[in-house]
Amino acid sequence: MSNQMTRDGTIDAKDQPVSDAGIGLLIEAGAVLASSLDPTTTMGQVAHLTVPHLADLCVIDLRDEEGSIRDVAVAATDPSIAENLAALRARHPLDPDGKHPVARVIARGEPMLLAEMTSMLLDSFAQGSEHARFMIENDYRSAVVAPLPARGRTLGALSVLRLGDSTPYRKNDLDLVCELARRAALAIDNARLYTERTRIAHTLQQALLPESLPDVPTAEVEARYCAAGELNEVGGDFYDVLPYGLDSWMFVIGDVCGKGPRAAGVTALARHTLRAAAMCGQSPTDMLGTLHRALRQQPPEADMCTACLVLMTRVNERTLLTVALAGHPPPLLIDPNGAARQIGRHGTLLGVLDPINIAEVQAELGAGETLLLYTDGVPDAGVAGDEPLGESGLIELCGRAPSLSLPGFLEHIEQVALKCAQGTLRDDIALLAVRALNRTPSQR
Amino acid sequence: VVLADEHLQIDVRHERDRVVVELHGELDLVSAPLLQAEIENPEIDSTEVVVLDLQDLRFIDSAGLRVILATHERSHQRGQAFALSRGSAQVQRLLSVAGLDEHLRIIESPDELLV
Repeated sequence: MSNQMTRDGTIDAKDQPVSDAGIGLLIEAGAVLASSLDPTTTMGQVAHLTVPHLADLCVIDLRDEEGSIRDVAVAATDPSIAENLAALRARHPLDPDGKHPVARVIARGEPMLLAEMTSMLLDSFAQGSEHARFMIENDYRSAVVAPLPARGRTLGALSVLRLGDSTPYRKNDLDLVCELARRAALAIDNARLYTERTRIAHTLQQALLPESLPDVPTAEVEARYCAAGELNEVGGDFYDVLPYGLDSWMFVIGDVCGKGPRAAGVTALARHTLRAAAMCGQSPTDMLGTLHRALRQQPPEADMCTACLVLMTRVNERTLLTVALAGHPPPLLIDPNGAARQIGRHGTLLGVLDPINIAEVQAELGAGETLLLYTDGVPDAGVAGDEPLGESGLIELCGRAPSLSLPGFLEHIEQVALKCAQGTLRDDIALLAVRALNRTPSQR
Repeated sequence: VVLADEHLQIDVRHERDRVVVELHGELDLVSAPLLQAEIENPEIDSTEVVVLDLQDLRFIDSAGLRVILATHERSHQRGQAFALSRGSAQVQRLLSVAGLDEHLRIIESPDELLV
């Protein structure tokens, strides 16, 4: 290549400068490439950008992790050509070790100029007779194939083609196509990284929440979680339901301060520490003490966390509750008429202050009553400068509990919270509810 | 000193042996770093008393609590007296839920004498 891009993006023309139209195309490409974070959309946009000024047909082929050439975007002045070529590529994928210029460019990382393609040349690299017929019927004349380089690898190739009577490409077209390919490769790479990051965040988030809740006889259990912020951020709320010996279950809800990878790490620590403590048969207060010590051992900055534990035990047809709070809002006990009251006594949040002061409070869950555990994101749902939903608002919503199914009730709370926040939550929302079934299941 | 972003404004007032840090608006995940940066000011370290005035603070979340606790910790390490004045109902609720009303000194007015 004779022309080089300098560091600040201007073109250092040694022989033949990229034409004004070429510079215009690169500027337009910059705007288009900055607009999407979806790899497929980005590829399609790049292909369309070149048609019709730079090419009659443009093909972008991407290599996957195994080395196969799979993802393809095609644009052409005649849309039916684009459609047919995409279908052809799907039926007969390019052989990555074959003679096709795309395969050779990807393998070598160097561009190719095919100024004049004869039918003999086309025939020599066709992937079968159908492919050869297609190229000859559509009058393939001239092509430039440029590698898509990003972070030291070749992601694929960008091919521009001229058909029939169009002017063949010359040597000085190489620079423009290579530069466009370089920019496109960065955009495609960024989009792939973003997609990957979002997928990782989603996987991590799933790992922080139970896959399913255990079956609790004589009670119905339901949970809901709604993360605030971007898809690729991991939230700090968690919940769990743990079997706890015979006829007993531990309900857990908590909130780790912050978002992102650090909060995700602390959330995992909190969830698994509580699980282990429950397995050892620790009381709710002792479980919170164990978590507090585990957080205190985390260097260097103080990670803090709130938690609410409710131990539910069936004793002689009665459902007894033991509530322990550590910096967490008290759960609501909703009677069959929809009247809600808070149960539990405020206790110190975990991980930052010594000593912590936590007290257990006993209650009973009667038939048809609902216990609702929630995180601060629910009462705090609101927009800056306006009154949030508040605990009073949440207590009011509990009036709907008796007339709704348990999933319906939680969905209703979430909808109201989202409405208060005008669709943008400033904190995650987690809801965990348990409803005692009437004594004899046949009466339901 | 006045620092402000969209929803938090911080006024720092030096009075003889004490400093009063007034918070106006909302102290949350977004605005907490602003207060964190302000309390790391060496001028605050040299006073005897640090008061966080929350009277005009409408909203606080756990990230806000964390900065308040960090301020408390910093004052404690430097042998300074530390107190908070009461905030909005939401602020007081969170302080109470977090069990901090037992750990932190809460005063009715920033002018209240600290002994």
